[in-house]
Amino acid sequence: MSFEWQNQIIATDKEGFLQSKYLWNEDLAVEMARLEGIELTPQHWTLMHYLREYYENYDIAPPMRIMVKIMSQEYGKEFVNSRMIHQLFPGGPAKQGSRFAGLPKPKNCL
Amino acid sequence: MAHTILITAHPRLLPLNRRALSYCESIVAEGERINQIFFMHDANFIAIHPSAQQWSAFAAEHGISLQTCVSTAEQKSIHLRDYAAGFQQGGLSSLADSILSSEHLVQFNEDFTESDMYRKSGLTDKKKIVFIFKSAPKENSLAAEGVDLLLVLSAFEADIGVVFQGDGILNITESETDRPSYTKRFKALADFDVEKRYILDGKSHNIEVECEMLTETAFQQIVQESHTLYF
Repeated sequence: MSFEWQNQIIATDKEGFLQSKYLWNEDLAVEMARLEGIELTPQHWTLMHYLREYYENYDIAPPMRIMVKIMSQEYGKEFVNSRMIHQLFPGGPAKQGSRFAGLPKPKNCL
Repeated sequence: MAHTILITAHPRLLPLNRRALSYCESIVAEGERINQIFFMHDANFIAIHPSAQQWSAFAAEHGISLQTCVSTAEQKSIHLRDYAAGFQQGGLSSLADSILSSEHLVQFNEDFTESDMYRKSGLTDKKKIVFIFKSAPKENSLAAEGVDLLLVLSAFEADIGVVFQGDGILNITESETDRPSYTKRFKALADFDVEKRYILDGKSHNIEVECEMLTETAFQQIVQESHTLYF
């Protein structure tokens, strides 16, 4: 599968994950989110940057508990819980978040 | 009593393949239930091997699901359209679910022994599972699927332990050469609440994952009390 963006053909797998991580940049992320009806906010970006960093270190998406912890450090415990994180990425924070962050599908064979 | 059977060996080990099938037949003959037979890693090739016909017939007769992992199949270029009847593609979460709803768990791996099986088949504490990593890291290895299953089970809040033994310790040892990327996932074990992490008989310096050293006696104790899976 693919979509067209800025006169380029962006190749994805059948679930919309980029075929090549080298295609990714922040503008493309904005477009990928827009195509799924999501406007990226600073909260989205905090989590997406964290997903990229975690993937680089651990080759996997972090569990929800860790995402809540990281987001709480940034935005305060009183504002962050797993529901809030799910609302940011209704398609699943690990799955949809990784997709917009230009990462491969979390390989848990789920 | 419900059983989960995990087969991880290549079909070229025909006697083992036959042994696994006859074990499954004996379970059914005793009137017990098989939740799932899962063909992991090289065992995925059984789905397209001539010996698959016998599995198909057995599964059809008893209404048992023969599961494989969709991403393993992709990685090994095994196509669903070539699968024998009754073989399906699913994911590790369905395997995890089956394991946690079974009292018995037996793995048929390359160095399977009969005595091991009789001990395991007598075990009924379904929640305690120990993953033993004993092979050196290698790209696309069984261990890569093992760590994924481990992380999936941890999300199900199963009682899981992990032992790095012998060459398996290299999975978590600092190295100057690049290791396969799946080995990074071991460093996330603590984040996934896998607190029981052990090392048995090997060098213990430059270890990147915090683990407790096990004595042989302590290890035997753990093995006696748990379902063991080898990777």
